[in-house]
Amino acid sequence: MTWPTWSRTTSPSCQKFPEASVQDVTRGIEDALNVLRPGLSGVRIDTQVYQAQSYVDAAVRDLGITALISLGLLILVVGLLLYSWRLAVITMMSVLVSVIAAAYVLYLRGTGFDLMLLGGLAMALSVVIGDAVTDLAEVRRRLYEQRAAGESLSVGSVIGDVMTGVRGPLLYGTLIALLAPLPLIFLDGVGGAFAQPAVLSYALSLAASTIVALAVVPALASLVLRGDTSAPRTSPVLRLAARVFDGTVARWARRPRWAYASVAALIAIGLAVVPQLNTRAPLPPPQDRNVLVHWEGLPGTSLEEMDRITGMASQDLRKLAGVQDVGAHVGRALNSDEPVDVNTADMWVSLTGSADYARTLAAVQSVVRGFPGLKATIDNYDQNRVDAVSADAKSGGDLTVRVEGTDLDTMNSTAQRVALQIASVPGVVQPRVVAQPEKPTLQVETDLIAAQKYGLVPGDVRRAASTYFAGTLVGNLYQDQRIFDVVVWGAPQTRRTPQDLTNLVIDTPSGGQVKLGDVASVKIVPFPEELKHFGTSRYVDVDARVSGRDINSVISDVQSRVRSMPMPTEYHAEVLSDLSTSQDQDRTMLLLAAGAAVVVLLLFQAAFGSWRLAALTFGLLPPVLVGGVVGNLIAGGDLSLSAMLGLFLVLGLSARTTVLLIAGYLRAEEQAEAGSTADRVALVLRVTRDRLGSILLTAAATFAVFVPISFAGSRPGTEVLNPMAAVVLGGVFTSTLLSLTVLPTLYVRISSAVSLTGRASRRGGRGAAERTLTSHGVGGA
Amino acid sequence: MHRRNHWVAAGLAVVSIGLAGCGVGKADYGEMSQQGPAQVVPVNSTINRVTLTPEAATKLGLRTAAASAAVMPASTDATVTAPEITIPAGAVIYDKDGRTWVYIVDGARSFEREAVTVERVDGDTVVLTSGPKPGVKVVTVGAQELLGAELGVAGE
Repeated sequence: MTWPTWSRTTSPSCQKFPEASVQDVTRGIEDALNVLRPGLSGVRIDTQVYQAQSYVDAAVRDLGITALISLGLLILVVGLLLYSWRLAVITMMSVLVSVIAAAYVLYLRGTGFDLMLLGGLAMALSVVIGDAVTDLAEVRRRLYEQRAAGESLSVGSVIGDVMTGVRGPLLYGTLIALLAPLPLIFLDGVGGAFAQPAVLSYALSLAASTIVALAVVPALASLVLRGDTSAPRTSPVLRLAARVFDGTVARWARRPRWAYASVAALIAIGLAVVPQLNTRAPLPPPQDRNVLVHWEGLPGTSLEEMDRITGMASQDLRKLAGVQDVGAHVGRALNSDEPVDVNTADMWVSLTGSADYARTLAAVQSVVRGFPGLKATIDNYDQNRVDAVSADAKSGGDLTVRVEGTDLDTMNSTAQRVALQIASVPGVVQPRVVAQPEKPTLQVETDLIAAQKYGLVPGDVRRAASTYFAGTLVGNLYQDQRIFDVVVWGAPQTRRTPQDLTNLVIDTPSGGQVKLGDVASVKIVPFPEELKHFGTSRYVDVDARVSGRDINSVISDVQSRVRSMPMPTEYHAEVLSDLSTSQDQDRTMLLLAAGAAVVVLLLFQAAFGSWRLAALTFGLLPPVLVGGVVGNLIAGGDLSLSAMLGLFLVLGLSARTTVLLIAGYLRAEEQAEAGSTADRVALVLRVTRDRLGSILLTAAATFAVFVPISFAGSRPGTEVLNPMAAVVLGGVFTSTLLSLTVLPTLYVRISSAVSLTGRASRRGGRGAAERTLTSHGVGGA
Repeated sequence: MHRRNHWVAAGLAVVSIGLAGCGVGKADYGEMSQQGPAQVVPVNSTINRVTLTPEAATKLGLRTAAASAAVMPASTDATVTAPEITIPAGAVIYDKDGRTWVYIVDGARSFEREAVTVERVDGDTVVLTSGPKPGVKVVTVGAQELLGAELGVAGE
């Protein structure tokens, strides 16, 4: 709703507590206003000028549409590749149950819905789908064989038999997928605040999908497949894929040089691409259609002038195509949430739904920045919150010494001393006291001797001066159950200049009068417009850059210098450094990542019982990630947190696929006891070909989920998942390719040195048990 | 047969990489070109000359008026030595140390600060004892923003 003209309004602004839900608060306010409306005749109320809820609504709507498209594509892909409605039903149901179970647990915990949570769920999707799909086709095939052979059906034992062989490796794969992103929850600050919900939802989805895979899928399979009498048909897509596989991979598998060369090529590409990425990229800004322009004039600018200039800016903004409405606050209300002065104004610009977001925003920027002498910052609600989290203790510079104390002048002189002291520390560059913006302030200082002559005390002077210039509350007026403040204030024309204050006449106790200028001095002095506090102390910062030396040694030198400086009582100085904290954090993250990598390697070893195979699978992970990294580069090269989460998805997917494949190879080799390399290659290729369907289905299903997100681009709701989509699409491509082509080849080469009998005897116990189970499953019950 | 399979494989590769690059529309707030609305050139160690672009001057709603000589009061107080100048009240601005200034017009859309001494305020006019000569144009609306452009706002 637009006002016909620029009009003055009363604009109450409501803030919610951090844990409260935006939706609940918005709805509550609207309800309250609806109750009040009948009694407010002649008053127009507009709640749409700035509503954080509108972004949430738009995000949920756009996300919902994208999710529906993804679901549709997923069903299509599953149907196309499985080519059996029964299997499709089992798959879709188990995927839905896993996702709903995870989401429900999150709901029970009371976690608010946020985009990163969705990111975690999206991440777990490939795992969930893989769990659902694996070996369903195998079960079907065996049941068909049973039926064809005329044997009595034992659906349960067939399922049990097929699933047992697979569950062990799948659990290892799931554990690895779960472990990989765990170091992220130890991030501090913004990264941690965003990573934790994502990793949490990811972990819950994995747990839910494992339980579903162990409990629900076999039950569903036995229910749905029991009455299946049709012959299993292979989807034409899979048949084509199998032909391509036979044609190309089979040739490459016999020439391992291709495998080594492609791995080397991928690693080379990776090494070339990674330095070009911006690893400190922030999360993509939310496409909130409510934009906040905050601007300030020079300290000392009057409220009237800010009013005038803000009115002109708002008029200019409303003329822009794509801007629906503009509302503004000038100055500061008594109980306002921001420590700002009258020289500031906030303009809330709401964009129309159909506006080109980036272009309109650029137009708003150019309008606002076209005003000389005013500093403007443009935010939206979410960005505001992100900035608030990250701007914790520090301002610019690598190193800050914070002088805390009580009196401003003493703090300034102490800060100057500190700056001089640390200037001689090697590595410190250009220390300077951070200037505080000051505004002209009237200072009235009573001359005690002169005042005493008239019997006046400084309090009398102060009261007279503040009543005249600032107004004093003297009482209340009660009328019709309303209470009005009564304020005594000097008439405007009598308080235009400092001279007016000097000429002010004060009553003396003896009944006479005296000019204020005779008992006090009036002058204008600079005074900071904002007194910064850290905790409860005032502070003044000394900023410096660090160059040419390791930051931590510079910090310890600076700390020892600062500690040895004599300070007045109640003053102390602290050394802060964002660079050091972020370097520390980098180091912690690297340690945690290395630890996770070691555990992953051990898990691989436990899954296969062989160090060489563990090394092989571990070594194939970086080339897989290169695909994701290239995808990120194509999409802009900003390796933000959501892109990194996408890398973990790819990692999990790749780990599970390779674990499954190699476990299959090992089982097949035990059962077949093949000898020559060529025979082994053929065996391995056959196993891979059998698995082709489920690997392709997992990859295709992940594509089906993430391609709509990628296409949606940067719309409200998907702008956070968008970088993840690029990484996932690239990474899943390389992962599938490497698992199907390079892995079989390298497996044969690398495991050939290990004696098969030795391995078989170690795994003999388990292998024998499997064989026993098999014979029972087929023949008996 | 092999050739066709190779083409299929290559086609799949291109398609997936292409899909990966689809979501390229990143929203960026866009960095504007850096020619700002005001150009500040030092004249001496304290004063700078501020030149506005035409759009900036219109946006600001800048107004100017000429300084005029004060009408001397009929009853002469013989201590009046300096000629008095009057300018509209909106022209006087204070810096953080309390000194009073006006911006005089120096060329098309160029302004320079000049120190003034205020004698008194009469309604909407200010009587100065030192300042620009009568006839010189001073900025009456927008002077505070010119000061902000000259000194930089909030430590910029």
